[in-house]
Amino acid sequence: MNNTSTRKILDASFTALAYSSLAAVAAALALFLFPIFFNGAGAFIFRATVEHEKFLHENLDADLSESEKKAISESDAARAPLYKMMREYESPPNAEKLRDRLAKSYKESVEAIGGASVEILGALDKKAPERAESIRNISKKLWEPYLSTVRESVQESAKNGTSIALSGILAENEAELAATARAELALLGKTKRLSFRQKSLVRRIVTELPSSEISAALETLESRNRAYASFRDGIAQLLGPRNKQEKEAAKLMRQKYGQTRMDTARKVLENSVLKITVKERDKSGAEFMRRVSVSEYFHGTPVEKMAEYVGKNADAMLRPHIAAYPGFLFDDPYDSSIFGGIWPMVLGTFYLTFGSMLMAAPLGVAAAVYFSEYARGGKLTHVLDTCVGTLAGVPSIVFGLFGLAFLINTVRISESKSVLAGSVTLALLVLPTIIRSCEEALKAVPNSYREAAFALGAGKWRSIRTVILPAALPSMLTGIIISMGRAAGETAPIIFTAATSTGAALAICDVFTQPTPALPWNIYNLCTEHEMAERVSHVQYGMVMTLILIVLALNGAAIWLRARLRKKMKF
Amino acid sequence: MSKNAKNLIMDTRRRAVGGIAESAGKAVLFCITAIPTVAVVFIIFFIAKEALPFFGDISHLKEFFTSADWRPSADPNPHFGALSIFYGTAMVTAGSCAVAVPLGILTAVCLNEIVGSKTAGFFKPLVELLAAVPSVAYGFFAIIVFAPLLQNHGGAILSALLFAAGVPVAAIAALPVADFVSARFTKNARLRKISGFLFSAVCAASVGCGALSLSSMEISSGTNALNASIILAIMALPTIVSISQDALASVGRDMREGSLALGATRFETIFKVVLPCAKSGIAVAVILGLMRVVGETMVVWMASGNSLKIPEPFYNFFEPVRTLTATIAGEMGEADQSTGSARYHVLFAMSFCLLAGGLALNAASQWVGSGFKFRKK
Amino acid sequence: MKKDIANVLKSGFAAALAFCAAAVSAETKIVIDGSTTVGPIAKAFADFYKETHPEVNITISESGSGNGVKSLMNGACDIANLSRFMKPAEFKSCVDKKILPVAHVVAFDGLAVVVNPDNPVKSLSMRQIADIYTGKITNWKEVGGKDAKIVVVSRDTNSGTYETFNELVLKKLPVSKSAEYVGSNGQAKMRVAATKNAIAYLGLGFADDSVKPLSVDGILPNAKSVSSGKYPIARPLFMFTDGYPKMGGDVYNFVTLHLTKEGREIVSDLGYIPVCE
Repeated sequence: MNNTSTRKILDASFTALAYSSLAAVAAALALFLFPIFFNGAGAFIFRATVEHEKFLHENLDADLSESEKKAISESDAARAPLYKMMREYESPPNAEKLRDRLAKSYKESVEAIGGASVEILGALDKKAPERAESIRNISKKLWEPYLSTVRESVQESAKNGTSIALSGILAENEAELAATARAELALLGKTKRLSFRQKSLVRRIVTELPSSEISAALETLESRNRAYASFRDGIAQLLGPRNKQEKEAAKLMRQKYGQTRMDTARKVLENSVLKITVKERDKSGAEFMRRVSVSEYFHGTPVEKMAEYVGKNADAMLRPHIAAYPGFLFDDPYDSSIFGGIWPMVLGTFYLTFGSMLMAAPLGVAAAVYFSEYARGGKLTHVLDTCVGTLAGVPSIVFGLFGLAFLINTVRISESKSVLAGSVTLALLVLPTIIRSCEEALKAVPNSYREAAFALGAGKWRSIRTVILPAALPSMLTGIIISMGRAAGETAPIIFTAATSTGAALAICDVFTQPTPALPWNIYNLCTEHEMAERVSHVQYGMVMTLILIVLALNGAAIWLRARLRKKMKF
Repeated sequence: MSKNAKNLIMDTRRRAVGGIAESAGKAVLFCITAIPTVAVVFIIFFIAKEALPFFGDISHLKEFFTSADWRPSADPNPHFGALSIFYGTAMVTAGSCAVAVPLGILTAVCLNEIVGSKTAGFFKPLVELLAAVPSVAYGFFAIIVFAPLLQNHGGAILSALLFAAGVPVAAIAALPVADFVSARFTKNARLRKISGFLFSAVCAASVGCGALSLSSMEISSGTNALNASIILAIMALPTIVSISQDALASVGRDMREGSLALGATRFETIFKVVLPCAKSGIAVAVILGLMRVVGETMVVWMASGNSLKIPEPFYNFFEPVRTLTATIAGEMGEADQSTGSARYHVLFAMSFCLLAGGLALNAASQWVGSGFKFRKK
Repeated sequence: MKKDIANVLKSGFAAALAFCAAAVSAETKIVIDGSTTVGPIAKAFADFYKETHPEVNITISESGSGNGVKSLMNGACDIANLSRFMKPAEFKSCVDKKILPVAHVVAFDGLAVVVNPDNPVKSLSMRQIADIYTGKITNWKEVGGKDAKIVVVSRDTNSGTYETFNELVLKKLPVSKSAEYVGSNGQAKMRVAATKNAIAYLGLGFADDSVKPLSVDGILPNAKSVSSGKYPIARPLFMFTDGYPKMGGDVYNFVTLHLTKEGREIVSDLGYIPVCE
């Protein structure tokens, strides 16, 4: 290649390419860290609703400030009209009137039946095909006034919001049918002795038609009521229980409070309040689910107004405000991490990390001392040295299996998973790294130090202890701290040896026997195995960020230490 | 005689005690040093012990490596064909290497040869930062952030990436080729220059068109081999960068100066002198990066989709695959270890293969590395 | 100075000892291990139980049904959650170790077959579901949907959920090889919520607004249809203890919680079906 300009261009463009690779690495880092830190910070500082303060106040003994109290009472005031609408819908004031009306026409029909004994008995004597026909006719005639009232009220209920009341009343009526039939049988029995077959025919005349009509009406009403129930559940998810009784009846914490965060509240509002899933049937009778908007499904009913009110006043009812929640780090999680913080996991990570370091650091330093000060080359040293490299090359999941098969199933250092088993496994995992970095550190101590110590008459051990180790300490510490970061973040080795998905923060004395939740495993667990994963997304991000911060802090500390101590002692 | 001076002079008794203490201490140190060795032996022993019941059966063994029929829990006749799982591991490894190796070496070259020490001092911690991030965080990113992105805007992302990376590479690669070819036909420097540019532009444009055509592509599932490969590549990057950089740094200054003095450009110096000198060190870097990729569990478990199929066609990176590590992590919990059933042992057989692979790679790195160290002196 | 440090250390040590002693004496423990499907019930029960019995420390691992059995057998847990019944071989090795597993059915669970809410398909027959999962049907067009490839999502082959599905729907035929496997119900849901053309099956408790349950043979999974046996893909969920727990003890209270009114409410609030109404 002799063309100079081409060569120059090639050179320049290669330089550009190399720079862009650097930029690519930086961009990858930024693209990776940005969403995690941005969303993770959202676990600590976020737009909260009044429910957040209520939760803190009632569970974590946080005091309410005056302004918070005011916000809560104002939000209660904003919710009151909605709750009033809902109360009215669930037990409408005109329900009694409706009940009376239906009862009256039911009674009329019953009286008509009582007066139609002759007709009924006549029908019983007929022959088969005609009999069915006449039974149907009698039934229709006798029940017509009542059934038309039922049809009317079902139609009206769609508009005036009496569906719930009506379905209750109809269910009562349906239950009454049997009694009516019994009464009629008793009445007929006075005039004529009926055979078993005839009795059942009478029962059919009295109950068959109304009961099928009522069931049909009930099904219409029920599907509407179910749709309302899912709307109501959505409201409960958004705002929490409506009153004290509901709150006390709630068993899970997620039912005791509404959405504590505005971002999830928005989602609930969109997906569960303003839109609902209704069950419908197609022509063949098969059921299926359909998503509809509430205002469309309940068009022209009071529920539409409720939805409208919620849509307009969501902010007034939830009072969004920026809140800082440092307790996310130090509070226990409540109700599968939906509320509260991540303390047990953080603590578990600390136990595992420090536990593994307590074992790995002294051993690693000792082994490094042996390699750099005592080992005289030769086959044996070579084998030992190779094995350190080999151990470093063992995949982390294999360490986990080894911990399970050896430490737990064979040695039984604990009954089952425990912090101890996890720490030992992690210690083995980081041991090669520590040995290597300490060895480097020791080898970096100039030989003149050793010679000077010997010249002063110090023994080998004494010179190591008093001269060489202190001189190598800074870089050894750096290596150890970096390995600590690795131990803190490893997941695969602790899956089978130490990690649980829920559990209280451990007391220090329990570490030998008890497993613990730990950040790395719980990140996995929470983002894949939680039944309400989207509701804890801030916790997921918060955990990931905390873990990364812990690791970065350790690495930062190592770098700082290295820089500081390097200045102090230069050789 | 002062007290201190007295201390320095040892009588024979003290010397004897000291000697015993010395050798005892040495023995203790030796024992501690032997821990990794013992651990390696124990790990191999225990994994082999649990894997043996599976490997003991020849029919199992054959099926394990040749069939892709993985039904370990089928009740009357389970199948243990792990071919697709091995293939998935290989695929993800190859994919991540394809991304991480060029990028890593280029970054190392840039840090060591091109930018000043200040810039390098700024970027090196960034690269170390990538290494420090726990794998579960990468996995989390892969499944929560990257997978939906890839699924919804996969075509656009890929075409942008290919555009950004492929077009300049194609243009640069085309230059010397064009130059070489045109040298055969003409001596006219101007003509050669023009033809070189033209060719390079054509190459760049064709790659660009290819990239644009990708943009309309639909990816049916965001958790696939590509996702896992890219994330794994980011994880392997720091290892490759820092070890390659060490290798590059160990190439003597005289080599570079000699080359430059002979009139070579920096590009030529790097390509023809520095890189060949550092090649064994770079090979070690690649192998160690490879080891990290093969042994990684959480990322592939979360991001690869865990499908048992060998993708069709076999190079289709948009299909989900499953790797050895993910299979072990995912299935161990449900395998009834209590009864020591075949599917418990088959998972150990897998980890045995993984372990063997790791050991082989490690041996390879030491073998290659010994050459590297030799050169370093 | 040195003395001070020593004193501080001593008193700290004493305090730690006292703390330990207090912790050990005051706490009783319930250790629970096993299936991810039963996990939410166990967690909710634990939260509820701890409210009334703050001295009880409950740890829950969701490491899979097989692991649950193993822990129970080794005496490492008090309660093993299983989403399937214990296998004969497991039962035998438990008995060999002098552990007598007693099953408590804590709830029923329907397996909802779910698709993305944007998917127009509303219902499938058992036959169609089986065909989709065995790979005979690969396009939504064939079952009345859009012209798009079906992304089949299955649970890991060793999970209890998979076994139930495989037995009830696929009649033990193998799942198509192109299926994606996910490790948990939550992940299956996430995949479907994020993937337009995906189909998955998951415990009814996990099916929320982000996915759309299909009706199977014209019947939707809900409390009524599952407990009446109409919905075809349903199973009981178990907690196993070693022997019947001592009446009135914490473990007894825990495994009988589902029989109380509160327990039933918790079960149904989580989307599972209580054993008795």
